Amino acid sequence: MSKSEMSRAKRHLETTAKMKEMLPRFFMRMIERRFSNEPLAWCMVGVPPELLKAFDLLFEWPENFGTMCASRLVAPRFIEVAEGDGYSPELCSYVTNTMGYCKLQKETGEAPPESPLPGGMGNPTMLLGSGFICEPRWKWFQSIATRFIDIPVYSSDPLAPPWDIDPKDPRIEDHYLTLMREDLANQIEFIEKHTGRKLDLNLLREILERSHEALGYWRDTLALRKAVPSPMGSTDYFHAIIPQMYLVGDEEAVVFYREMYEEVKDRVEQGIGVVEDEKYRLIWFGLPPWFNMGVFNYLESLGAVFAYESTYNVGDYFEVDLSDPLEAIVKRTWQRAVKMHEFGAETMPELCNPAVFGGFSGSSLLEELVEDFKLNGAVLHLTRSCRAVSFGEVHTKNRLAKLGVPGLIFESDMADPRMWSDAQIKTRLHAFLETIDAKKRGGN
Amino acid sequence: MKKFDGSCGSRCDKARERGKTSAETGGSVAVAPENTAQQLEAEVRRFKEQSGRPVIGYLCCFAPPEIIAAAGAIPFRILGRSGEDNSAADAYVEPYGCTYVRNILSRAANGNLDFMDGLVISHSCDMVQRLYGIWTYYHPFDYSYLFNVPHQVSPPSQRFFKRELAFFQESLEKFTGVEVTDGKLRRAIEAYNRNRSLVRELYRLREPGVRPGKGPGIKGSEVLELLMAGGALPEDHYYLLLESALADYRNRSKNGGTEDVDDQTEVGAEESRPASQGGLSGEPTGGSRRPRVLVWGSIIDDPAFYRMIENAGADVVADDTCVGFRTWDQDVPLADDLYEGLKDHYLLNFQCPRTDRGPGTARFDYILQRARAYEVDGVIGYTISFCDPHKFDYPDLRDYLKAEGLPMLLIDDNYSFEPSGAIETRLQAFIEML
Ligand code: SF4
Ligand code: SF4
Repeated sequence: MSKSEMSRAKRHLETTAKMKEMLPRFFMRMIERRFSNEPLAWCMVGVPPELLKAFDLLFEWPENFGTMCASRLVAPRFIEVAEGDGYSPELCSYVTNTMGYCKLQKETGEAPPESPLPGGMGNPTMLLGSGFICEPRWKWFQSIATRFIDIPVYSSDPLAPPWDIDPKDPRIEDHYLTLMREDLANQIEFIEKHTGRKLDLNLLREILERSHEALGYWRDTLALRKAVPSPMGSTDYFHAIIPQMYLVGDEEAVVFYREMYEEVKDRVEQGIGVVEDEKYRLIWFGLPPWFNMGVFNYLESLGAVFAYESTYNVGDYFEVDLSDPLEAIVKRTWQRAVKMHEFGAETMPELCNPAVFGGFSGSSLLEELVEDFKLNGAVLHLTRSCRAVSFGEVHTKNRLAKLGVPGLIFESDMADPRMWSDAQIKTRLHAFLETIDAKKRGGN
Repeated sequence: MKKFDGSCGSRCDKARERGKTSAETGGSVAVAPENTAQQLEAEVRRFKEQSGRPVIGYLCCFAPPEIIAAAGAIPFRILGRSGEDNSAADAYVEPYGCTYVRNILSRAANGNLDFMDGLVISHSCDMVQRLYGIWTYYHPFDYSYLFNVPHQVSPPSQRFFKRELAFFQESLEKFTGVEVTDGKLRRAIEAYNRNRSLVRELYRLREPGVRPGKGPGIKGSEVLELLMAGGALPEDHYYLLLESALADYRNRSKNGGTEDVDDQTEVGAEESRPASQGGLSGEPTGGSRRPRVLVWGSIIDDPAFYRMIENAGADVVADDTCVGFRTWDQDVPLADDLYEGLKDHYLLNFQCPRTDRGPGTARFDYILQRARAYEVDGVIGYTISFCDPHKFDYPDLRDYLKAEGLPMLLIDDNYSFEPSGAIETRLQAFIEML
């Protein structure tokens, strides 16, 4: 496999460039503490990072580690090891990346030298899973603890009502909220048991305040991308989510997202766009190809910019009363689900997992986005190994077509570059932009 | 009944035209199960007409058909038609999806399931829950319900499940206008349990020692054909079918041959290819016992795969698949609180890898127990494209069985069940080794 010319990505914002110093600083702090054998949890999105901070618990995100391995092009090595162990190439490449990593670690007794982080993901003492988004999450940590590292697992099990069930019906609300509350209580009990620490609710509240302040800046930054030309593109967007996983709840994150907001606002005021001659304003669906983020720059070179991405979008769901911090954590998940119903949940492919990550596709939210962000095209990344986010894209494309927005579905993966071909992608992107041109000229 | 909203247009028509003549269908084996499934569907249509009761199609094993029946509707377990052309689904969903789910959507788009008045899908796996949203969007039913199922078996999850049963029942009552009394539900559970016990009798015909020195009293492919009828026929019709089948097979066991009943049970075309070992009938040759295997995996709703194994020289004597023994091996406990029994059965006892039973290999103990009880020599796994729950479990299960001295072969297929040279060679090599 020859190296793609898109493997390097250029960011546009000064703030995101600062991450180059900020993240290693954070990782160094973390790694030092890991050496002192403190409890360490491997976690999944869906586990509130604020809770981990409140326990002062060291944590790592195998899925984020997957994105790092993907962008450093080491994921294929780990994935192949997992495949040799019997994991199908169809399975989530973040998971197979972890499985290969764990297998090598178990065999050699130390972190595989290819790991993008020194010391790899550390030696976890517990696994905190969550079925927040998808199916593979149920097997991921179960198998790690079965095959590689015999440590306790807690997997939280939040559910959300399907599209045709009214979340405002008080009985339904109680049905779901009861589950979420009990689940959170059990999760906390588990962490208390395995850290020997007691949760400090006041501290949790303070952390939530800071985290929501940071997320507020993030949300406001994203709204600024309604401006023409769009002041921020996808390379900045996808990189700027990383502090949400590691630093949210810290003052450092508040400063980071505030500065980002100010920078983007400044760019809007001065009319500085990501591309000089902005011809196409696009929406991105699905996970990005972490190994070839330069694809976004390539599109920019053709005058196309993404003003919105469907994944990792926090929305307004964190606008909750923080006086009871546990209830706030439950409510922000619940509100996300309710909001999706309000947006016209009848068109959603599913809504049983509260993250509804890829699922807002068909709702009236689409109409709103197309109008507010002045979108004239959609690129939908069909990730072969992550159906949780990509299954439903044909449906989304159908819905966008009804709104007069053409869509391009292209197939690849978030971490596994084996399906990628520069030549093919370029041809398809060019043809797609021509479709938008034709549409603008009044054709079909 | 409303049709798909037509947005797939001429594409659907084309797919419909291609229909069964497609190269994807081909193969003589695909004919047999298609006939069985077609006959079953015709039976359901007839029963619907006679009784005036609505047909409610359901998928997966979490939403209890007992409640559907008690609410005065006809529960119909939706099976796929393996090997069929699935291209009608392309207008709604991507190619990267469980082939069984794509097959069902394509059948629905082609109007093949238009006898269903309602749809119940349980949140078993990601693929199935999404099928619900997309299907009901393009094709609203008079009644549809997504039965939400927790992935855990923790006390909060159990409480959620029980409450979900109540919501489900309420929605059905609203649709059919029939109140589900305790008595009605109890009677429905009893009827289903009665069938469960007969199915267990069928399985017993393959237990070791039933026909000393001979092959099992019924073939795995024959059992599966009968089980497929179980999801389609009304409980009491199914009971009669099971009773007469049991009598036949018991007779066969007594008379010592399998050939005499083959004619009645094989539907459609007979296999054309020669068996590699032993006879087609499953009789051992030269006194040596044919290897006995357990089949584990994703949905197997077509006896063709079992026939392939049988032709390769082994007997399928046990299984762990969702239309197979997973559904039938235990009764729904008839507790005072019926929901408690339904919860225990459908959430706790029903062994689907989509449910998280925690780390470790204890979650596979039941498979080992079954393998031992049936004196199995090896396990054949069957997974279909993009079936996450089963594919994730495979390495753990394989290693667990290996440690217990049971070899395992995995066949990863595209839900075609068509005999292919590559699959047959692998089956033969594995069976020879046993
Ligand atoms: S959402 Fe997709 S990428 Fe993330 S863990 Fe699930 S399957 Fe993998
Ligand atoms: S075969 Fe697998 S993916 Fe498909 S519906 Fe069954 S469990 Fe889900």
